[in-house]
Amino acid sequence: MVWSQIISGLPITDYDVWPNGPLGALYDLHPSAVQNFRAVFDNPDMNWDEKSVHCPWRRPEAPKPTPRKALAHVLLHSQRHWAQLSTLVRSQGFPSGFLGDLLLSLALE
Amino acid sequence: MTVGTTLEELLAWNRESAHFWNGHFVANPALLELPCGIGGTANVQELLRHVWGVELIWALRTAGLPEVDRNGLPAGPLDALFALHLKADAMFNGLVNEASWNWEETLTLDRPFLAPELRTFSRRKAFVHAMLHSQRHWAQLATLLRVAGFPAGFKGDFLLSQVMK
Repeated sequence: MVWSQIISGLPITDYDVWPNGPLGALYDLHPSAVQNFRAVFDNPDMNWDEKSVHCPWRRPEAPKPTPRKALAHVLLHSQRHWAQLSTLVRSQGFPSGFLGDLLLSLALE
Repeated sequence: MTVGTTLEELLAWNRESAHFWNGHFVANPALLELPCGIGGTANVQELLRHVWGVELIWALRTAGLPEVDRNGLPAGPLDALFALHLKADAMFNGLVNEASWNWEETLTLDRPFLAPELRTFSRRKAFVHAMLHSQRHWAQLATLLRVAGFPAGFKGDFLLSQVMK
C-alpha cells in the first residue's frame, strides 16, 4: 500500500495507523494498492525513468530511485516474503500448499 | 520507455545475488553444513546445489539445448556449485544479447507436477521463472541463517540493488 502511494504521489498512510487486524482489514490494503497501481499505469504523464521517488524514511540526500525501480522493488518484495512465509508455516507443521514458482502461475504464458 | 523490469536487469540482479552468496560462503564455509530443509535439501550446501543447478537446467531449456541429469550435478565443493551459476549466467547472457532470439517461442515440459495447462510456456516465462526461483530461495536462506544466529547481511530488496536506477 505504502509503495503504491509513494509511486503515485499520494499521501502516505503512516505505519502507526495501519490496521493490526483483523485479516479482512489487512487484506484490504492489497486491493487498495492494486487500485493505486492501476491508476498510475493509466497515467500517460507518468515518467517512469525520472529519479523522483521520495521515500520519507530515507535520508533526504539519499539517491532517489525511479518509479520503475520502486515498482519492481515492491512487486518482488512481496514474492520474497511469501517464500519466507511458506517456509515458516511448513516448518511449523502447517504446509500451505503455496505454489510460489512462476512456472506454476497462469499470470504469464 | 519500459515500465517493466527487463530480462537484462533480472539477470544482473541474479548475478549480483549469486556473487554475494558465493562470497559469503567462501568466507564462512562452516555455514554450508547448517541443516536446511528448504527445497527438500538437508543442508545449506545442498540448497546452493539446488538453486544453481536449477539455474543451469533452465538455461539449457531456454536455449533449447539437451538437459543435464540432476543426479549428475556436483554435490560440491562450493566452487563447483558456483560454476553451475556462472555457466547458466553466461548462457542466459548470451540469449538476452541475441537480438533475434524469439522469447515468445514456446517450450513444452511434460512433467506430472505441472498441470496440463501449464506445460507449454514461453521462453520468456522460463527465463523469469529461473530468476525468481533463485531470489525466492535467497530470501528463505537469509531467514534461515538469521534464525540460526548467523545473519548474512544479505540485502535482498531490489531497491538496494545496483541494478536499475
